[in-house]
Amino acid sequence: MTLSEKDVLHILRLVEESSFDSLQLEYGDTKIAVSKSGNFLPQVAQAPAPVAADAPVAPTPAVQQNTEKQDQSPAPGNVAPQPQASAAATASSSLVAVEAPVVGVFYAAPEPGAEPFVQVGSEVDADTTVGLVEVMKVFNGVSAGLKGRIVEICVEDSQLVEYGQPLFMVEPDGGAG
Amino acid sequence: MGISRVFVANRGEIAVRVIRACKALSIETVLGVSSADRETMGARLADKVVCIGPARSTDSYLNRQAILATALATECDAIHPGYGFLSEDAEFARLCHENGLIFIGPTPENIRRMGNKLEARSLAKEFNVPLAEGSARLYSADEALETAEQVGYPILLKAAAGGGGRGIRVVDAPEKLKAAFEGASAEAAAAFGDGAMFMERYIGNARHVEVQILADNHGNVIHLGERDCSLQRRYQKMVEESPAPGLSDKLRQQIHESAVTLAKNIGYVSAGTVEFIVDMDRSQFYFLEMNTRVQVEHPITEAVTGVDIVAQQLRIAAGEKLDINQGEVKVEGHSIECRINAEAPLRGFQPSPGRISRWRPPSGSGIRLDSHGFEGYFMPPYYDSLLGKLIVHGKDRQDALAMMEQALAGFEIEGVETTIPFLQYVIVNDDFVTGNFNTRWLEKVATTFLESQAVDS
Repeated sequence: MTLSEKDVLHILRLVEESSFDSLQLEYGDTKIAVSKSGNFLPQVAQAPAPVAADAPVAPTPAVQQNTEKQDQSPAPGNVAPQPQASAAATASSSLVAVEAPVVGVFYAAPEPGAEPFVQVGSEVDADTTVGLVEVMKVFNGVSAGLKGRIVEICVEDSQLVEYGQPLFMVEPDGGAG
Repeated sequence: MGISRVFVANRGEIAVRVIRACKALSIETVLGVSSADRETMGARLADKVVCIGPARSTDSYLNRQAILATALATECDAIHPGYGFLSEDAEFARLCHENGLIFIGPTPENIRRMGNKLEARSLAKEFNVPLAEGSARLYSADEALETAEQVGYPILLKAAAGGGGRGIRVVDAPEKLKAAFEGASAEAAAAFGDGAMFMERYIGNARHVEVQILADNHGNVIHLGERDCSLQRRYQKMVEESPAPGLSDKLRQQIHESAVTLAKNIGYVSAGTVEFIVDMDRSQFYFLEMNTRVQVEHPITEAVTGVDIVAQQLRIAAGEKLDINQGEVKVEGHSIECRINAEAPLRGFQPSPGRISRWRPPSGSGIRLDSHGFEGYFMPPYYDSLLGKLIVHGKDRQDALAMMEQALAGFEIEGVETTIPFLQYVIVNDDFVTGNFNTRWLEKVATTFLESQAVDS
């Protein structure tokens, strides 16, 4: 069971107009946490975003980090800023995304035809190479960054990936789901 | 046209300008954004948006490899660099060609030669374009002292690689020369990796006048008249107008001809601007430098000539011939541009980033706004403070001034502070209205503005 984008927008609006500061909602497999004063500010394409209007003039590093978190839209091609429902959902889930360190072309294997670095179910350590991102013939190794198990591969081999785009979802070791 | 998809390697209002020009020519656009710029107007308008790096511009908008890789992976056939960032990076232009991408701008050689002011000066001299009295490269402060005796104080020390006011010093006495030389040279070495210095006679009553050039790959070079950009604060232009007031027809024509001569002789291609200093006391003009890109203030030229400069850049890059000749270029009426910066004039023009909570731009016949601003937009603190350019086109200068006064008064922006109150003060000032100004004038007006505000409050 899932919530549609429209549902999420509706929920955000209700929270915005309410006197409540935060809301946590579990609906089937989807968990949503919304907060007006918290570290993440869900921004909606058309809504006036009253929360952010009160934001400090110069964003602190914490806010910036948050901005980057909101950048986890799955596809590189978009036109309008998308509602960040997925980011809100990710924030409360136990999975950790391995993000592209640079923009470039993603490779799942060290060379064409070779076995991929990792597959769904692979156990990884923080320094395990999980893929490569090529920028103009320079290949950048991507490390898992944490110990755990690959549960999802979010991109295709040879696909353009954006800076910060999730490449894999990792279930951290000992991380209760 | 030979270009079907353009990668836009810039941000802010110029990204919007380029995307709109492409749309008008049915060219697709891919916009590379930093992670701080995903929710911008450019990102809304572009056909495709790719995040090319983090907020810091050295890792995104200045990252040649990331931009080239993204442009290639998204199957673009050309890159528009806008202004600033990589627009005057000869190596980037070269890398574009090497990778089969059209760089929408001049040749790498054009950029390299004009980018070094010493080389640009020697080229200007070769083609009989007037140069301010000055020197070749000065290798030491002692050499500078000797040269200054011949030129006469005050003198202007300049870095060969300088720009944006860095590496420039006015020196009015010999005892100050050594410190100024060493300071400016070190500043240029740090900022541009080149500490080479030269000297020019300082012109007190000067106007900054520049000529818009268009040149195609087939040897056709035309000019689109001139702009006066004398109103500068800390070498940043704030108000520009076209045509330039107070020039005789003869002087104006000579300036145009010099600009075309230089562009022709160096084999220039694309849109470019030849900058001159006009000594208003002597009625003489001198070559300053050439900017090998589209200028921020290009819309005032578009207003008075009716020529779309960005569209011309695209056509030229696609290998087409100029579709206008010099005889067809007519300057009609008068245009003025005011730069709306997110800055607080009362706090020393400190940048004022933040979220725009109210945005009501003026509109009407003869009013144009080039901006990426909108209600709800968060102006990030990482980049320059230009929020938009307000351009008016009137039947004459007086008419244009009246339109600008009204347009500025009708522009409501809340959430960030802007230069609008200062601009309102400037454009009704008697000296400006009567044409009694030079390149030092705006600094003085900034001081009287602060005093007037202190009295008011």
